[in-house]
Amino acid sequence: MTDVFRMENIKAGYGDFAAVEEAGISIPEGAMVSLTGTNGSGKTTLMNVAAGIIRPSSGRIMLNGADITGMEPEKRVSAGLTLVPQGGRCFARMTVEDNLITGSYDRRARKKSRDLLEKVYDLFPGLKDKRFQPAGTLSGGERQMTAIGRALMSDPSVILFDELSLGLAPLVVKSIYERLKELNDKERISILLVEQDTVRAMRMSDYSYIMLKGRIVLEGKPGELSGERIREAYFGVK
Amino acid sequence: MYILQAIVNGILLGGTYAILGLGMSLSLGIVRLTNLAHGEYIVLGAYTSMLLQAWLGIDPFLSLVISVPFLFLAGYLIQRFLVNKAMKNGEEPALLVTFGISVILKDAMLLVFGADARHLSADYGNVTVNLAGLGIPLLNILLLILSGTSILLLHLFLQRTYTGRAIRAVSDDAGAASLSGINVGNTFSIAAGIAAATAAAAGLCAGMKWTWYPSSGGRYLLIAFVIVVIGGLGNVGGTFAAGMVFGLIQAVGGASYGMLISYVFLILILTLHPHEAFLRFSDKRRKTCEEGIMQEPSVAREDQNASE
Repeated sequence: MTDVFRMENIKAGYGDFAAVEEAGISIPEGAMVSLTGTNGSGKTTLMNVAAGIIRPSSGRIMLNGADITGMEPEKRVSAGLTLVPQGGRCFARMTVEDNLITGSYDRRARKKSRDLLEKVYDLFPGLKDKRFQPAGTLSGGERQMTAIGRALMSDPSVILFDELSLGLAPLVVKSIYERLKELNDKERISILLVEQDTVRAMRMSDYSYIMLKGRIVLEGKPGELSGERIREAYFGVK
Repeated sequence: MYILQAIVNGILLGGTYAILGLGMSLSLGIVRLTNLAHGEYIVLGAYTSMLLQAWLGIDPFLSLVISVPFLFLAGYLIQRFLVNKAMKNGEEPALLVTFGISVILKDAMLLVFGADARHLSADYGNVTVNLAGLGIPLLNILLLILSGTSILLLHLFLQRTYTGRAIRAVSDDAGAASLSGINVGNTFSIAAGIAAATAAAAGLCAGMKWTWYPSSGGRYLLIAFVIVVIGGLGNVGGTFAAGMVFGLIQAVGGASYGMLISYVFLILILTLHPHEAFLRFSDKRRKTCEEGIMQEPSVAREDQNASE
């Protein structure tokens, strides 16, 4: 399997503070990969680097074989990489449907926007019923679905989810995760789940990374990683 | 009868006030920047129509075909090459840049056109329509139609097109917009261009109603500011309603008290209602939206917290 997305030797941070010391991940085509770690381990910074919001001080980012390290965030979307940021960040004053349509702003996606919209409504039928409501009036779960839908509308080959489950009820998370599995299986969209909750994210994924203090400290297929090693990586103690 | 005539006059006048405030509302609501040069854009719009009439004999209303694209381009280029660059360093530098542009435009217009009072006129300028016993100047009706049409078109543009949605998205959350594939800087420039384009129509309305000088921009800016405060930022419908309210106050208060009452009204709104515009459509819905934003899980970067 070739890697559709890869980050190599990334170092990045804010000012003098390096939140990511040295990290690399790769997502094989059509895979579901997880990146977990405690609060403050540098996961979100790594995602912001992936999306182009933060420039890394060193390292390389590859998407579909092309170097996108210096690319603007909006051009990455057009190249097929989309980040669903923490909390979803829907456009609260716009209706659900306007949020979704805004997702296919890019010219390439615009041509397919009608089909994509139908797909999103098939995936989350609840959104269709509320399509003329401002996104700010939705529940947390529905807002997250709107954000996922908006990401899908850009017709991506890779979607990165930053703390998808944060602040959501377990049942809602379960149902959203099922939808993601469906996307991954049927549409062959490559997915990276970034979560604090190791167990659930690892159970979902084909390959796992665990991050601690700005470094990837453990990686492998979930079945091959022993609980002991995970605990060790997570807490930094033997 | 007097009061009825005053109300009709106020509504007709309100159209002009609304369009004076429209561009300001857009630039404050979307680019989040007080464009101090907006008054000069309006004056420039009036001079453009004047020149087209003088040189080519084009009717002032038809001159919009040229003055609207001209001002769009001017607003777009100024935003793209001057203001956007300043905005990277924060709000104050950008504000100063717009102040500089305002001074430069004012002096340039003084140099080119001289300090004479100007007025746009047309053959139908003195025609009065008799409606139910009220004498209504045809020109005022035409100006109201122009203002209403501009506002409606802008509303449809913002609601129905990809670019319009992108403008609203950027105004809502610029970071999330860029993650959705929208070029924020370019969207700012387009919004600023549209705001300037509305100044072409505003210049026409103001120029046909009142005399102007190269220095009239300040007065227009003040009116625009009042309209925006009454109508709400980036709220196209609210801007129209605010224009009507302002026009009615003017007409009922008469020439001497109208302005005074308006500014007292403005100060009252700013003191008693500082966080919300006085008029706002679907107020309840909007409030829930804002609560929705408040409930959103913190988007502060976890790593920044870690550094503390």
